[in-house]
Amino acid sequence: MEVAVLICGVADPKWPLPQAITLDALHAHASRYAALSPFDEAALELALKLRDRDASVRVCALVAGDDALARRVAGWRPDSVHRVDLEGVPRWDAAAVAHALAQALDALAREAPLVLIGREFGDWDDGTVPAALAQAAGRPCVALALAIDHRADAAWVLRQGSASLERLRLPGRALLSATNDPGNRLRHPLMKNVMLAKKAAIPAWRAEAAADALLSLQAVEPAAAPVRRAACEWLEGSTQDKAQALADLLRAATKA
Amino acid sequence: MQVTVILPPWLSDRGERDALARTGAALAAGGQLDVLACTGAADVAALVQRAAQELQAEAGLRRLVVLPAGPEGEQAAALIAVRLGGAPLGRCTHLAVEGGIVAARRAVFGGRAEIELRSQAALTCATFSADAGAAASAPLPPMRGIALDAPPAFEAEPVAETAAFPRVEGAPLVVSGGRGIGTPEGFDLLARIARAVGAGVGGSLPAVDAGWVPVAHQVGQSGKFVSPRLYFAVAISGTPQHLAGIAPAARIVALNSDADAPIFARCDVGVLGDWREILPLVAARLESPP
Repeated sequence: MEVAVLICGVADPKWPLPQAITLDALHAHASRYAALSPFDEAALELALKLRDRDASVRVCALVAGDDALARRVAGWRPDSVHRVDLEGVPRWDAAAVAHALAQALDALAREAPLVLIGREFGDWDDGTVPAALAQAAGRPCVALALAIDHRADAAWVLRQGSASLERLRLPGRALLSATNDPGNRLRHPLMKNVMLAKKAAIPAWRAEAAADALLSLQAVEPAAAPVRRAACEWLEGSTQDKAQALADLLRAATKA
Repeated sequence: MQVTVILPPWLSDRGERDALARTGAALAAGGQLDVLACTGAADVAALVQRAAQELQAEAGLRRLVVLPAGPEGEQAAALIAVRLGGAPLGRCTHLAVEGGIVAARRAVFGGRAEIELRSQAALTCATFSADAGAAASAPLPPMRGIALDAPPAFEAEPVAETAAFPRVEGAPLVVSGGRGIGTPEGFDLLARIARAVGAGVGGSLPAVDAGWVPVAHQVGQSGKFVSPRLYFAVAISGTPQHLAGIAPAARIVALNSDADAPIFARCDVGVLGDWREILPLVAARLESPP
């Protein structure tokens, strides 16, 4: 069985964004400080765990990033790695990204019954791309997956539902968006595999540019800091005083 | 432009439902408004199936569909938009209708930058966190009840959770912990405080990553958006990604041992100190009669 895992990467949040924020500056920054997001890592680890349990599972990684990020992913030794070039696709348009990724899946991992993706696909997404991709690729969408359990009859997905955890019986073909959980924290790659990845040939697949743009980007700016109504009021005194003041504040808020 | 507001079954807080309906009315500005108050199973697939039926295209009519922000809201909005050939905008911080065009702002790069988008699609879907206090005096628009009766998309089993913390959704107070908590026991203490005052328990992404609090309680850009009266942030540094999940109207009380923590530049009340020393005393005081 083939399992496709889609990886995007994010700009490492340890590094501040450029002071002059433009589209080109953001793209350059994201490429220079590319890192896997916690959600990319969760998706990759779920795929590797499936292969650990069943040696017939083949992991196909599709990396929508530059060559360096694709090589980093290759360090975890998926069975195949492809770089998906989204240069002609407006990254702020989740539907356009989803349609490009659906093309990539069709071209590179058509037979994979299971597609894994992080719950957010890169810096421009806030959780829209995975569901949009499921719809574009004609696959049922299982969001916020934490783990995949195997039983005799089928695979079951442990996911975070709107009110509680639930376990879903996995249909034949599906797209799972993975969320971060201690159970799917990405393992360390073996050094020998990291070294092999540096020399690996990683093919690139280029998505077609979107034909008709429904969304236009008007501006990109630094985020405005949340506006607070007043300067910070400090609670001073001994530990006992601070605890009492905090308890009083919390009690008062219940009566407001 | 017809504005359709979808109030899904999982949005249980009355104040948040009313606030989103009023937001829709303001966007419609006296034009066509349809508020769908959905009841029944909290199943995204069932909601999408029914919404797609309700939103069948009428030639020449542009539509804006608004759902509540949150993981399920973004999922439903994306599924509806792509299914009907429209444009999903994602989680918007600002929405406006200008001459038949939808203008929106949303965060990118983990809340560190913002973009402004314009949609010319016949159908545009967005999610939005309405501020419950902002337009409370505006009249509540009429709502249309929709019963979701489609069977669940997947065979499901409930799972018993080991650590059942009070939920943050609709909570009037939220007690939240971050990386500096350092242990799961710290969250047990936060839960004691939360139960004593009827608060929800939240956590930052690093705390969820560490497994101290379930992902359902994650507050921030990648988690829940909360709009409590008071947000008690314990050992949370105050990254933009985390603060993006807190309504601007919420009063933030921060406890942190690092005087340089960015949270102190954003909070209303600051306490410099070690949570290990202060929180047990706070819990004891709140658990005893006033």
